[in-house]
Amino acid sequence: MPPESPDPRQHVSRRSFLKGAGGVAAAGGALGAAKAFAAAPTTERLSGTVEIELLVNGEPRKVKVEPRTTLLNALRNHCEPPVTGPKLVCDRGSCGACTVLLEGQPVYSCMQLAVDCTGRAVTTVEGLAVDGKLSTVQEAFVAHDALMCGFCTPGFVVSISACLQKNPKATREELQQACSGNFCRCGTYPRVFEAALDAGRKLQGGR
Amino acid sequence: MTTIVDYMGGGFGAKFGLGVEGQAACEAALELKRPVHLMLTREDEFLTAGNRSGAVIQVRAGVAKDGTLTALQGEIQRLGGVGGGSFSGFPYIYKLRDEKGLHSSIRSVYTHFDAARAMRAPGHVQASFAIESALDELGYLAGVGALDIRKQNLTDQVYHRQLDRAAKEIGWEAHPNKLAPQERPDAAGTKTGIGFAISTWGGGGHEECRVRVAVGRDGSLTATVGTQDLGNGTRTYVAAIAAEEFGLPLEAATARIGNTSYGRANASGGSTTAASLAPAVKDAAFNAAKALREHLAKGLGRGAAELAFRGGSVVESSGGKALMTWKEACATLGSAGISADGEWRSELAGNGVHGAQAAKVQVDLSTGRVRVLKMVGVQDCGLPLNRTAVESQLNGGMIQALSYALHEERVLETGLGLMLNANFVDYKIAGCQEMPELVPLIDEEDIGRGVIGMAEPAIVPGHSAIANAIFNACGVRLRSLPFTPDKVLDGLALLAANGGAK
Amino acid sequence: MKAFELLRPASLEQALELLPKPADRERVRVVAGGQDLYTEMKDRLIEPDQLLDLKRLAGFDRLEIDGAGNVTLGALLTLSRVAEHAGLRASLPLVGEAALSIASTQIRNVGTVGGNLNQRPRCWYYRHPGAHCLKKGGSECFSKEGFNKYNAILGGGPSYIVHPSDLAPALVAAGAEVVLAKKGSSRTLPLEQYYTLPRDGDPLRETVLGSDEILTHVRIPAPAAGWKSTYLKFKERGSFDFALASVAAGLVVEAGVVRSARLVLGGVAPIPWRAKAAEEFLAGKPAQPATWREAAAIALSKAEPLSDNEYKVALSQNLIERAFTRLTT
Repeated sequence: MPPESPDPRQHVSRRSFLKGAGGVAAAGGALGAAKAFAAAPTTERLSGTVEIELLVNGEPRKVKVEPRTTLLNALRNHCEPPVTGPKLVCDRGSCGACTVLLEGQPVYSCMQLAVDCTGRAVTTVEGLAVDGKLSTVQEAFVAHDALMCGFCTPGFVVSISACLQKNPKATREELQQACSGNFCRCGTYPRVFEAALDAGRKLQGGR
Repeated sequence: MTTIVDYMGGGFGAKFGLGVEGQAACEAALELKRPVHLMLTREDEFLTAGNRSGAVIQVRAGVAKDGTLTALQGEIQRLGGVGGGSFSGFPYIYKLRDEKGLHSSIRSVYTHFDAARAMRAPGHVQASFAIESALDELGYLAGVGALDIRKQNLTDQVYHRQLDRAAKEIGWEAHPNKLAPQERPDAAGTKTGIGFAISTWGGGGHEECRVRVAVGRDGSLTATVGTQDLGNGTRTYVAAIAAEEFGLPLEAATARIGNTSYGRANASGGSTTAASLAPAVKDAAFNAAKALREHLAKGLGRGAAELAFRGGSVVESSGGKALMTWKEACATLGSAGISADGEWRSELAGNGVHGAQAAKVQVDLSTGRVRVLKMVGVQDCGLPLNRTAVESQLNGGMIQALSYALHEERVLETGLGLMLNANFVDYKIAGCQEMPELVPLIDEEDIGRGVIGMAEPAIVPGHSAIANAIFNACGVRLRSLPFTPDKVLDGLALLAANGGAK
Repeated sequence: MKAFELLRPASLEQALELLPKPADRERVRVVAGGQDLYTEMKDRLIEPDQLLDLKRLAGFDRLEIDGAGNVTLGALLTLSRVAEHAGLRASLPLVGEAALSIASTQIRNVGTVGGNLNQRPRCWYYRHPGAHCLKKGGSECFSKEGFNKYNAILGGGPSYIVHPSDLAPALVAAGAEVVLAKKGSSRTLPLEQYYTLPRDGDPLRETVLGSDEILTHVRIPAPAAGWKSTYLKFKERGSFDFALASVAAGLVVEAGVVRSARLVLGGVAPIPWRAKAAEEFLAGKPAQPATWREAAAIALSKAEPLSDNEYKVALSQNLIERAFTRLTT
């Protein structure tokens, strides 16, 4: 399993590794937390490894994570089978390749703690297709060659889907604004926005 | 040792050699006797995985009144870290009529930084900026203008044709300030300019790839070759060439690539993959189709030459009457199906491309913001394997050039020995808000030359065209990349202090 | 990221109980949206043992405008909600404009008012794990002699960071106050006084927030009649970037004469930089381009650029002129 986040300072890595190796006690129970909260609101404490349930693309997924585990890491490396649509690229919330919807809102999954996502609907690019049929936005990406290497594509598809969901009449400028946190190295932008505008027209009913 | 690269992301360079990172992964795999997954952090990527060579170039030049280059001196220092760095020659593309007027010297300045690697048109990008800036400056000084001074010093008529087309598409004819920067700003406090630049590249292929095309009893069609994934262009044309040979849609063929156990392939780099691989795929598909026709001919009691594959069926080659469907034909095969190998065929590949680009920019005099409004790229590439993909590659080249023209810079702090911006917040690449109107144009007069790689030439001239457009707009000549607002504002202040354009 | 214990108090009282003593303040960090904090933790600039998560606290995400037009922004209110609130955009456009200018959609959907006001500097040296600079307890501000293109031209020394918040200059211009709670009490102070210059306070910090305090909400007084405002942010890159320089400006103009003005600069100083001399100059002057030009010159007259950032002087002046022009045309 990949590290939660590579350590830029090697000596610290070793030290904290030794510290962490002492014992990992399972604490807290995020699953039962909501109930406990209703009965007697007390401070919850989560540490070590905890089992949580994520709701990914409509399916409950039980995963064992640490408080520091990001949603992206949980999806890609802790879910079985893994959810690999969201991509790990910058791991600092600055490129957009890991974008998912959290309760319908686009967020960077590398900048969410998995334990903060329990009980909230997570939608990845895989979840936009319905019954194996590509969504209107996904179809438009294929039709317009809106992808090259494909690493940024899931993030763009998710961001554009959220934008058009809110407003299918979104203009090119509004779509560009909505995707200002998604970056592409290959240079697919022109066709991404052609695809997005086309998908918008189709979502408005015109075919 | 097997290397698996199903999907590598954009393959933009720095991948000719194994590299220290690849070596470490190999050694770990051998030691552990287990698969090792290599993925670099952003910082590792910036520091150890290979970067473009830097260059410091000084140019002195003189032209005759008509813009003909008469004297040209270049002092080139390549900055390749512990490596030698790269520079593609001086002058780049342009020629002096009398070579006696040319002098250049080139040397490498070594630093303790990582060795530069072959990164996206190595040497060309640097060489382009030097000569295109100098020539442009002389064009204004001589009063012949940015377009004519280029043509004046280019004997190859392909460049004349491509520059004219770029000029037409960018709107040069109607552009008001052809011979001097815009005098007065418009109401919004901006000035607009147009600039040009050209490129060249080899992109030819060579013998290296061994491709196997196989037809299965179930109707499957597979082309297998051990080339690495480079984004999805390779995967697409490998499948497309095979499918075309059997009269099948693209979806019917599968390209198996990205695994060294799939057999020999060339090292991907220098935009040579398409011209090296496509002929071998074509050869293998041709051989497999021939073998399948011979097999079917026996069963049908006809000559192999009487059969053809069209529209998902086996048909009579003359008249086109359908004899059996693809599925029916394949069902007659033995369990091993049928397969054939193919090799590179020199007559299917070409070598050497041109390219011309124009950029139109708007400079905000209050903020120093350079906004690229439009870019036009005219590119020859021999036979385009997939027009949509070629246009996307052209767009991609122009966008990458725009990105390093306006934003990208590795900031190295010599005192502390650190790269200060080894992340995607501070090392900025162009995003959605930076996108201009892009016009990718394939030079159709050139498609008879076989397959030639075209990805790298498309990124060579864009930054030079943008620099020249900035000058054409506001009179500021930027001599170092990237063209950030601070440099534009400093340039405008200097102009004002010298009594230049306001 | 180093492993940590996540604490989720159910009430403000519980949260305040969990706050550390001054000596332990590096061990326990308060987290709201985490969009800045997690980057610091991933880069190991900070390695807290505990994160104190405020997301369960009732009412911390509220946005209220009372009958008189006074606004309350909870510390955990997301930046998206601030940017999209029609009522707020109508009465205090500069606040919505500032919120919308921040980072990206993804960050605004998660990042909060409290987090934005308390985010840490973006200085290259501070953010680099390998540079032990003054802001991290070292002895030297490397930007002073090193790369300082993005650093301060006003109020610098001994540290030359700029405060990266967009919301802060806008809220200071709007006369906002922050409410800081601690065990058994709370205090309210103008946001302007919340931020401290490195030379006046602890150079490790940008605010006066105590280790035993939590910023609970922001209050913005109802704007005066006729008050117009705007926030202009200039980014080096149009997509997702911090300000090279920004201007939060507000004006009341009557019969062509400026009655009162507010002018706060972002991206140029270690704190949101209130240009008081320019504000005073503007009162009573005719609302015309020459006035804006003069005010801009006054606002930057004390600027002390470093080796690479002199451009920020002209840039800021031009943005000030542009902002006031926008408010009066």
